[in-house]
Amino acid sequence: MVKIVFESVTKVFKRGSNIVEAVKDANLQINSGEFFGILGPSGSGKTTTLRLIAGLEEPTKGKIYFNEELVAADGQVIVPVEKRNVGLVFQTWALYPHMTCFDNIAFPLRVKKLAQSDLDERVNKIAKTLGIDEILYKYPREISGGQQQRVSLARALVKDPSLLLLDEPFSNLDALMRDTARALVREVQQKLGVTTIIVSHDPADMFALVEKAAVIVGGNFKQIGAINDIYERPADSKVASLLGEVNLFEGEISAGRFSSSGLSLQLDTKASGKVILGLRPEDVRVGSTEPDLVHLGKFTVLVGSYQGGAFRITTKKDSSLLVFISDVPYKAGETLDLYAKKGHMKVFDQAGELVGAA
Amino acid sequence: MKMRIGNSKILIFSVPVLIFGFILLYLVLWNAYYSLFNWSQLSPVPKFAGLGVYAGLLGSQLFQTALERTLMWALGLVLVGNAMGLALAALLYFVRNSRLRTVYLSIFVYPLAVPMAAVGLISVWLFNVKMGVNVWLAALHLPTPLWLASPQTAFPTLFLVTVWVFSGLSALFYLAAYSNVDQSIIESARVDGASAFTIFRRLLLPSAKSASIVSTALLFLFALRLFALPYVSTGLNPYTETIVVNLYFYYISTFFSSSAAVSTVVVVIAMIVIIPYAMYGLKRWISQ
Amino acid sequence: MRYLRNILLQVVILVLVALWLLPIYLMVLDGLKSTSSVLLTPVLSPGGISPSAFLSTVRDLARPILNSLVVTVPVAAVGTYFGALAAFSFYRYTSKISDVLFSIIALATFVPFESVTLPLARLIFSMNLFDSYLGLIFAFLIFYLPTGALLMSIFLVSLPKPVLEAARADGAGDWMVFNKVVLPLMMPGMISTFIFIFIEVWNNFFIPLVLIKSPDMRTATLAAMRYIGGMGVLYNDTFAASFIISLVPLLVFIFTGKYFIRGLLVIGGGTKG
Repeated sequence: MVKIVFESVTKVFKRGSNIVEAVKDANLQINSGEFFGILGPSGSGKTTTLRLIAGLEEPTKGKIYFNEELVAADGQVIVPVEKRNVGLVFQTWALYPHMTCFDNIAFPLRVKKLAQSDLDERVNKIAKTLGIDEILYKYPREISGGQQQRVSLARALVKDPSLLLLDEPFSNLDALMRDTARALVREVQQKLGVTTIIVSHDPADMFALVEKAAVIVGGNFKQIGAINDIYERPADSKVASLLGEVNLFEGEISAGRFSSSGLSLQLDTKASGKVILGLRPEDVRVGSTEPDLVHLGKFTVLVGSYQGGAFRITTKKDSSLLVFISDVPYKAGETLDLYAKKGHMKVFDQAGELVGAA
Repeated sequence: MKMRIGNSKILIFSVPVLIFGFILLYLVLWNAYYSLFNWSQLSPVPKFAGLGVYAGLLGSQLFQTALERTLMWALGLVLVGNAMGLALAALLYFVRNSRLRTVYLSIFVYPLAVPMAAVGLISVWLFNVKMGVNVWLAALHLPTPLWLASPQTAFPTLFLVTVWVFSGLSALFYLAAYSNVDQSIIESARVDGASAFTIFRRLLLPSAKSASIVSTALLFLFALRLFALPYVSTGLNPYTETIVVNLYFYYISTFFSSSAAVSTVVVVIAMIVIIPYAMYGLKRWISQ
Repeated sequence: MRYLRNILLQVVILVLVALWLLPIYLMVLDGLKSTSSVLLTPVLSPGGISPSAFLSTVRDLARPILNSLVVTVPVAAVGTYFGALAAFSFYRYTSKISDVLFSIIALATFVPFESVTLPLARLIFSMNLFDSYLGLIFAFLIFYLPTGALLMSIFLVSLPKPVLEAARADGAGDWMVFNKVVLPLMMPGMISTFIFIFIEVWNNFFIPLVLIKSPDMRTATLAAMRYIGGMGVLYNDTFAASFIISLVPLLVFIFTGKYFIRGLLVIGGGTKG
């Protein structure tokens, strides 16, 4: 299994007269056997990072190591992708349209010139593991998206890769399929112990699958660490909003009291001056039913919607908007007494950087 | 993505194409070089003459008329060919049945697949003064021109034939351009009660700009290269001689440097059209 | 009103279609005339059916048609295949140098071949390939290999890039990617290129004119010279000959017209269209 190290890696694209810095001075370490996530909005450079790891792009500057071996450096790919033993699952799955699913999966083995009987055995085995043995003789255009995704995964795994790369593998699936697909991927990764990197803009993928993650915004890696750490202590407000929704209130803290439009809260924090207060919807409570709550005030419900098994209620107090999650629907116009869990709020300075919790 | 040359076995694959491409380049340059020399059957050893050969050509009546005629042919074909192409494409656009439309389009395009020599042979007899189309024209009490037999009408006759050959090409590009117009725009115009002609004028025509560039460039280039048609229809005849026929004349009468000079002139004229067109086309292509 | 307009449209189109098909009508009608009909009836009118003209011209043109086939098929095949190879290698190695090379190739496609008559003839002559199949094939390749490369490059753009990258991730080297993935997926484009080059080479008059001396090496289009007219040629032979010369490219066009048209669109528009 592979350990990956990025040393000051920068990737610059020239499109005509436009110069785009897709990845800026990245330093990463992904350990052998780890399930690692790269999270970021679209255009942030996360796919470019994955392609650099795969060997489909060369780093403009910097070095990339696989297990202490230099595989790419300063404008050159030293070990090309075909030699890296990488399993790659593309966002669009990139199955060979002119081959059956069986041949698609068998392709990497044919490249290695494996004996036909070995080849058959391995293809059938992986197909059975992923539940696609029934459709092996169909063509990609004849099967569903979920099945295509599993064929793509099978093709990546059949050659026993030392590294598995997943590029937004679930974004083309509908919500229900995504959960089963995530479960499948997690199970397979645990069983095989292969170093796996998943690139996604969906925090749900991160929470479901990875232990460690890196958050990339505009080509810069803003935070790297355990996924729970990033969730609890995001480096800045942008990172916080990438890993889930967060209500942001601009205001001022003086002597521990945070004031903003409609809000006046006594907080347990050392921060002061102009700040941005962050509060996640899941940390809001209606009524003081629990201990350790901070009273936010009386908010009026604007609109309630239903999303992913829970109700999403948007409320307002003066000019502050607050969104929270509830398992009961509230009607527009209702007044609710809202509270926030102590210690879970995040205080960001004016630039958005985290300065404390409250 | 760049790779170390040692790894790139694939570049070997492109070698044959490159070799032949460079041979072509060499041939073109060879012409340009020897056009600067005095070289013919009469003076078998080439002697440097600078632009003397070109001067001689300019003085030659045959060259002048050939050049003039070719340019007229080119401009005429561009004008008439584009007009025909626009009109034909418009007519085809409004044909409802797409199968029928494809059949009609194929009928207008098929002349491009017919050897020009065959077209020449047919022309000779179709326009035969006694036995050709004049027989029917006379029966309809219409004027009966002398077609290929008269110096005044030989060129226009052949010109018409080339319109027949190349209009389909132009129509092809215009039809493609028309088809790229969003269907919903056309439909909302229909809902607003627009007539077919209005739709053509306001919606289709404006979208034809890029097609007109392609069509013009190709029509010009094809006109520049006309040889088989005049040669087969009227032979080495000053009344239909194109510049390529002219260069052939010099070639077979072994005025080598004259042939090389005329050739270079052809290439230069072609480049004047090709280079801007290629820049335009390549830019679009690369930006995809 | 709409109905009348429609009728008018159909009529106008049909008139134009009839006009466009006139030459085919003539080739068949007049090719089937007997010698006496030829002398008696004008070109546009029917005059009975007699296979004599066709029979004699087929006999005379058999060798030229064979010559054309022997030359055209290899040029089209080589042009397409090596064009595809070149297109693929340009695609894999996009850098400043290959952009320049590509531009040269594209320009080469548009150079009128008539304008290199003299040096071409001398080159072929010096290679001892004058008046031979190989000479013709070599000469045609000079023009049509770049054409093939250009056409295939444009078709290549429409291939889904991730599929090619997946093949590389699967461990396939360039040669395997080309044979197992690129070629099968580019088949329609290859057919278009082949058809396009085939028709262009078959119809080419000038190059055989310049490079062929002996009558039995003449290609089909060149053999047309015999039927020009004047003394001793009756027009039924002329039309029959025109028909036979045009038969092969026309049949190709009828059966694969879609591909030829796509080839034309690509050459002009630069998009797969």
